[in-house]
Amino acid sequence: MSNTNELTVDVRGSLCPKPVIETKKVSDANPDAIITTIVDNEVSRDNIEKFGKSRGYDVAIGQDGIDFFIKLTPNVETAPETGCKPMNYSDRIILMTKDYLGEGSEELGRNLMKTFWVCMVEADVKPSTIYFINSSVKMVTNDSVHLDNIKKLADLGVEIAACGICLDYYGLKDQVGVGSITNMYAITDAIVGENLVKL
Amino acid sequence: MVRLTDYVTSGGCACKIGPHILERVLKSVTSVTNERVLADMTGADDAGVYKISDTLALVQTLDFFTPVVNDPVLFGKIAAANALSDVYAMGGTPLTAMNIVGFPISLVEQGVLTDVLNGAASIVAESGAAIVGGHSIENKEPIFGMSVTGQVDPNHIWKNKGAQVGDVLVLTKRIGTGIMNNALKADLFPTGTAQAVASMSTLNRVAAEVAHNFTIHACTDVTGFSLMGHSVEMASASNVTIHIKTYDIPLFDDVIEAAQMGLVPAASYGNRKAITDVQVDANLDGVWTDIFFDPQTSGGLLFSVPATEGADLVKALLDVGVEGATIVGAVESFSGLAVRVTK
Repeated sequence: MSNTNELTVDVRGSLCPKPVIETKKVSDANPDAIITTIVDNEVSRDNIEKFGKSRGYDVAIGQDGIDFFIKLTPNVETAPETGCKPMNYSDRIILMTKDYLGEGSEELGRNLMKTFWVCMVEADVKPSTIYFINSSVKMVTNDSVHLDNIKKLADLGVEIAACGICLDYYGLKDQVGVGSITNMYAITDAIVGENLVKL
Repeated sequence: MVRLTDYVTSGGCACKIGPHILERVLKSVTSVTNERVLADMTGADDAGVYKISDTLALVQTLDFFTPVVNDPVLFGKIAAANALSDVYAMGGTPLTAMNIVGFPISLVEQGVLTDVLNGAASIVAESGAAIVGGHSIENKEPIFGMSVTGQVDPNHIWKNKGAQVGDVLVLTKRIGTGIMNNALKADLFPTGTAQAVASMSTLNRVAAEVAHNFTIHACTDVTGFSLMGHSVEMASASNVTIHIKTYDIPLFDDVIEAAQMGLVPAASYGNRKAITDVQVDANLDGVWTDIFFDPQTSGGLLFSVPATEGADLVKALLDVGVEGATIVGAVESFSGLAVRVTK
């Protein structure tokens, strides 16, 4: 039925971190393949599950005796055939670089930003992740006027991640009201590897 | 080029036998002690202390493990810094050290053991102690460590016990060596792993010397039982609740990403099974569990000091280059659990 490539990584008998390393190698070389990793201990099972989720795979775990089968299925981007999926996630990543929208009048930019978040909450197609760098990190803190809308996006499954160095710079690390704190490594990875919109 | 970590399944303090297993064993072993013993394994302290006179006590400890890094010189440095750390954690000064060696002959012949011993020697020299001997056996997996003897004033021992309500907790090194050691084996995250290696091979001597100018109510070093495990030990010994503030915990770069990717050592899972006297804010991302319970190799000192001295201690530590120094929490009156963790 399917022409999708299916691969198996059998790392029974190996201890952490080898199962993750071997699975990562196969995943890097075959990003579209369905990968089933076989391990024989719970630690490796949990670590492969983490790896799969961090890479955006759908993760399913089966067990046979002492062996665990972790099936990693790449997230399909096309619309589902049976129409019960509530939200349509695109693979797009948004990089917010400041706390107002566009160039020109900052005052106008701040108002536009409010409207932007309202519209984003309503939008049919949502980005998978929104990264915040430099002054844009202020928007995810407790005092932000945008916090409620960004929280709604997070609740709808959009990953919200703010740059830790930037939060540090503005002294806001303990004020984060939504999402997680990330670093430039993850952001760089996203910029290089993903379908990115910079705002 | 020899890759030392290819010889082992788990490295550093991550290769420790889990505390829950160890406890079961020690329960059925007869204790041998006398009235001169001021600290032993029953009190969960970092080293044994034996009173010689009213002003002098011996601090004794040993530690050894399998390689955490590929460079033999660095492995020797890390193992030595880790072994010496327990003496500093008790408020003592190291006097002598002995080498503990188990090595495959093939690696000895390639000069690897020589490099390991020289690395360790450079750190012992830095501590001011002397190396007075050792013992070696042939072993399939390389192991190396040291047995260290130091001295301490019996009236000024830093114990786990003694943290007081109103204290703050100062940690002197960043967290995440277990995760970063796995990343190192995977050849990932060069920035974070380099920071972790530098931190692991740094002695806790300077941090301890600075802290002697402050009111230290309790102290431990953060090693294999993780930040959480060692906080629980301090809180339990002191009958208080320790409040850890997650976002204040200093981390090596890339630790969060590496943990999310699944580079979490087995001992981390063992720790979270064994350490249950903890309440974690349910709103925290699950990755923090991997960090709280991450086994540290040659980790920092954790001091409980009066809140009025906390900021000054951090500043004094930063001034002399103890770059991880941070206030990570506070001591509260006992509220039912040893440790509570908030954002």
